[in-house]
Amino acid sequence: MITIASTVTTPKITIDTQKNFYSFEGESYPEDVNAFFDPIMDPIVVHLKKQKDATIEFEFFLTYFNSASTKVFYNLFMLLEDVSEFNSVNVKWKHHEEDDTAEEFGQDFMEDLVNVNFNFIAI
Amino acid sequence: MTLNSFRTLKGMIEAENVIFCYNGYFSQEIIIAVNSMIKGKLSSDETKMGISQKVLYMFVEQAQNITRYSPDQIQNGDQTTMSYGSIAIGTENDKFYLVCSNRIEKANVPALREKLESISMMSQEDLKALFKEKMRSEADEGSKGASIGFIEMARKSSEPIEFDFIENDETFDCFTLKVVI
Repeated sequence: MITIASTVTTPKITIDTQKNFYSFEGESYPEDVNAFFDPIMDPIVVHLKKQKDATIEFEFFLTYFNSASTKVFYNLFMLLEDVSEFNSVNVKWKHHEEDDTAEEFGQDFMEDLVNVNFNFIAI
Repeated sequence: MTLNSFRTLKGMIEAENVIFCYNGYFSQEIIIAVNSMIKGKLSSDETKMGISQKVLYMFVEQAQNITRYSPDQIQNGDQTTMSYGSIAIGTENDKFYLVCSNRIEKANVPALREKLESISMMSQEDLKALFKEKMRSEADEGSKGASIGFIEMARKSSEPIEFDFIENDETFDCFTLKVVI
């Protein structure tokens, strides 16, 4: 299991390829989104594409993210939709009860997902 | 600047109910510091989280636009750059507004003007459709973000976004954008 500690502008990221559990928690507005996320996301993508009949869990609790980060997460969700054809994919989208901005972003993502099991959790 | 002219400037800023006003060089460090100030101020005012999150979102988008696209950049000793621009955050009619401004090369004005004119006239439904389209496609040429910053600002605004381009000199115009939450 790999844990990447959060910084002021990047979320805490947990990657457990054995259990197929992944989480993103915190704020995300790095100056160069691709320089931060590409080295993290690329191996996850490679791993997920190899999965079959697996249960894959993703947890998000993003309190703030910028528009460039939105695209990174959207691309991830599109990949999850692809791999959900051969696997069971569950997403927990956590947000503060009063944070309708984070909730609306979750809804934008969820609308384009058919097979992924997407759940909102208000905290 | 005389003490009197500084007081006049300060008076003009305060008359616009400004909680933050900055005219100078933006860097990621400045954005982080201001973010922390906005969070503290809005939290002490007991601003609803739904509103304060939008203020933060708009501020980071506007400030990162300045750091990415302002032509007035200088190099720090550590190879990072700082970019010149202006942002004011305040309240009017019980709503938060954010105004930002930076210079832009005249050659880049027509494309940005066209993009913003189109966005400013769109309904929420059309903005959402455009957001989804941009999510599925590659970023616009010359874009250092995801080409969705302005679309998202328009989606989170309670009023149409306002903007203009005013002649600065032979090479540059001054671009100004206002959003209301």
